[in-house]
Amino acid sequence: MLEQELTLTARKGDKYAVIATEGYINNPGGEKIARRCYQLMDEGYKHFILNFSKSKVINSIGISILIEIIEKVLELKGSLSFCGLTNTIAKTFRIMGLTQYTKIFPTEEEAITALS
Amino acid sequence: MRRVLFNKTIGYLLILIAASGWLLFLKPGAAEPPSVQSWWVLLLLPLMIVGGYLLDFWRRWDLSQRLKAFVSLYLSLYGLHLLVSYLVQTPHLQARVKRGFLSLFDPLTALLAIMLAILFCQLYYPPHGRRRKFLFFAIIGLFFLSLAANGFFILLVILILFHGLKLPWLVTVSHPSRIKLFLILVGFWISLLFFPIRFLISPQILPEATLFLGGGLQQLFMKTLFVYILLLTIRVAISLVETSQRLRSKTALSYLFRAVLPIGALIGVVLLNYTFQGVYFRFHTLYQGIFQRLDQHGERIITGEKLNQLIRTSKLYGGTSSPLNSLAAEEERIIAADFPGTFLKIQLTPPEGRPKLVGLSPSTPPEFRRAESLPPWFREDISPNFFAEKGEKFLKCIKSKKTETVEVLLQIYVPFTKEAIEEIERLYQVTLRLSPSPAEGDSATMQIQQDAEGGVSLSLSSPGAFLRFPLTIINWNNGVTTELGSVQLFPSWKHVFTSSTFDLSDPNSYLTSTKVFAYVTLSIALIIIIISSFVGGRISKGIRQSLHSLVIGTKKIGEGDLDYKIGMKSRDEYYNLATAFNLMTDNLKRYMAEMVEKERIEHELKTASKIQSSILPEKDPSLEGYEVISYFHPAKEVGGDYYDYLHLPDNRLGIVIGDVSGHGIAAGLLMSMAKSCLYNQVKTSYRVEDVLFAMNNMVHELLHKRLLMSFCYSILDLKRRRLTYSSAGHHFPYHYSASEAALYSLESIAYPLGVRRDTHYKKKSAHFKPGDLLIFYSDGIIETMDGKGELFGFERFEELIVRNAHLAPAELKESILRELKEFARGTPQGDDIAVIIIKVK
Repeated sequence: MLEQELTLTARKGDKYAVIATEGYINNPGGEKIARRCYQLMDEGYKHFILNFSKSKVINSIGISILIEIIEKVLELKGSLSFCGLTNTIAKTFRIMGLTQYTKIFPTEEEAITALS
Repeated sequence: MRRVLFNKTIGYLLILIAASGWLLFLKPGAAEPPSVQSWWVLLLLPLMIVGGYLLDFWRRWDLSQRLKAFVSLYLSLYGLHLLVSYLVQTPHLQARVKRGFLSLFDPLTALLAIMLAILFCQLYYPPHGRRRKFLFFAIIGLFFLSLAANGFFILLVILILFHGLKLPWLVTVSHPSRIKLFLILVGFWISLLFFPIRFLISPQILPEATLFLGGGLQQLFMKTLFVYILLLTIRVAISLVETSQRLRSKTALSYLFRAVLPIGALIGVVLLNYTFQGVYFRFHTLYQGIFQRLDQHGERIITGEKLNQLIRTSKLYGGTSSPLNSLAAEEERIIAADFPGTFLKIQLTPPEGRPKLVGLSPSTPPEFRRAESLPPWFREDISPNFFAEKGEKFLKCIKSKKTETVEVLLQIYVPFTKEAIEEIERLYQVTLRLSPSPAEGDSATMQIQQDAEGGVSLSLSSPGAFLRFPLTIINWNNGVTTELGSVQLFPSWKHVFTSSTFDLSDPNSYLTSTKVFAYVTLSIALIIIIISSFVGGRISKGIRQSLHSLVIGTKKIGEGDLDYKIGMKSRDEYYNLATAFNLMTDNLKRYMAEMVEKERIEHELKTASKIQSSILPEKDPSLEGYEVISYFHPAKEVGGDYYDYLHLPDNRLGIVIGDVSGHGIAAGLLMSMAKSCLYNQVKTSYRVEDVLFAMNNMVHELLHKRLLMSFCYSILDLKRRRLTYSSAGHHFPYHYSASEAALYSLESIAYPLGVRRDTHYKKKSAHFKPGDLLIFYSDGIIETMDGKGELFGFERFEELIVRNAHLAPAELKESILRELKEFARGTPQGDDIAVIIIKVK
């Protein structure tokens, strides 16, 4: 379970993109998310919603990659929102300072609503 | 692109013009060979050369492909010629077409063809060496030179085809495809059993072409085809065997080809010769027996006392032939016992001026009732024999004798009738069927027709017949010998084996035939032995090579060469073994690489562990009014966690805890540097905000992308029980208030160290009372995981602290570890665990 490889799906909205993940957000998992985000940034997207409802575990390198993404989004003056986080992950994000620059929503719909 | 198209178009046009001119220069229907009129053809050679040069597609082919293409071109040209000869019915046009094609093989036009071939092959193309070019020249040259020499030609074709028939596609096609091809070829060879091979080798059925070059190109073509298919069959058989998946079948085939087949061939030859000799002996005795018996009758009459008496008596010359007729009638009766239907004629020729006397037996047909002379071609030694005379066929014995007074000529005629044949069969115990004396049933039949000029033609149908011997007949008018037919013999094995007493008294006819037969059968057997030995040798060589490859491979692997791969052409059990061997070496190689890597990591971890043990505090501080205890357990031998105590001025204790993302020696070194940086900074200013600012910039400089360090720095004023703290992405410390029985999280939200340079961290503070707990921890506790992947989490940890807050720090630590262990249930620890518990007394 720990080693479950991360799979992700990206759904593009008008101004935002939703990336839903499934599996462990570790180094390769985080890399996948980052690569997809950067592709979408190249396509012109600035607002991202990361749906982690099917990812229950994240390690420190995964978080460091998320911080890197946040920094890039901030450079583009965009936004990043998380949804579907477990309590532990949500608290970890808070501890690690991610919530200073991002928002956490319980569901994807709420995150989308907040963007529009 | 356009230039290539242009070149090709011009090339084709030039060749077309040259070929048309070439054909136009030939005079259709001329008796002379084309070469005589084809000198002009040479003038067209430059056109051909330039045209061919412009068509450079040939360059992409390798040498063997060119050779194969050349042979194919030759075969297809001649095949086309045969086809056109069949299709074109107008003699004039046919002759023209024939000459067009055949001139290809004329010596002079052969020169042209050689030039064309060289041109096609583009031998000046650089990749081929001088030696190979020379070889190719030699082969093509010999090919044309040997057109006139059949045997050499065949040998050459064999060489070429052996080179060309390596047929790599036979290796690449699937096994079922090879089996299908083999079955087709087997079908071809079986069909030959119903189609006499001699027609294939010497194809009278094909249209006759008048050729300057020996007139044997049809045969050459068919022989080439024959050899080609034979070689193809052998090649396919070898390929089938080589790729056979069963070692057992290979071994069996090897024995079959190397032992059973040669021995079988030899036994077959012996048996065949024995059979042939036995049968031939019967035929010989039959043939000679009839002749001898008839000859004996003739000899008896011509030397008989009665005839001598008649010659001596004077009244013989009186002109009456009554005594002679009586003698003839008497002899006819005697001979008819052996040869039914016999009649005879005795002719006496006195000296000149006197009439000839002819004695005739009663059965003598009217057309034979007159005197006659022996034809000039006649020789005594050809009697008795079969003769065609006056539209009939006879076994005839002619005897002549010359005395002082008269010439005697005796002719005994045995008509070739049904009765005569039956009598022969009865006497010699053979089945002899000559038409028109048809017998019911399945015997062979032979149709003998005689044309108006007295020539005899024969057609043979032989259901079930397997041995055929010729009978000849001589035309009485001109002495020309033609084939009367043949005798079909159906001997039983009993007859064959009981005919072993050969009559060697007549070595000429008998031995010659048997010798020829023996040579032919022995030659065939020898070819079979050579081929089967070759095939068997290839099979066993393949097996040996496979075994040798395995032995070599084992040695190489034994010597430690794990990169060595055992190559195997076959697909049998050796192949499976070789594949397993190669897989084993791969696994061994990987395993050894893993072992080396593991050793390297272990070494690294040990080194890092030493570094870490020198970084972490050796013991917990002993403070008045406080009870302090810490615990650390790395996930691997070296973790990324770091904690420390700093004894600061004014009775203050600095408490530090951090976590570098990652483990191993890199994390250990970073911790070491962080500690150095911290200790240096504390010397300058130990204020919380200054320390974090400096530490952040240090980590930002040192850590590469995506490596962060969470860090919590706090100062405990021991006297005032006041904690000043700030956290850079590290888990918030817990404060348990004993008086309130409540747990507080000392929050301070900020990024970990190293994300942004020159970040200012805000400090916060908290106050403690006796009995209160202060707990610092790393994420290893929260991220402890059970077998289902569920995390221990914050809630459980908080509940655990509250539940056990009354305990002494050491007991609290033990209870934390115990519950974590119970929760994990054997699941390996994912991250380092570090915890500092401080209780205010």
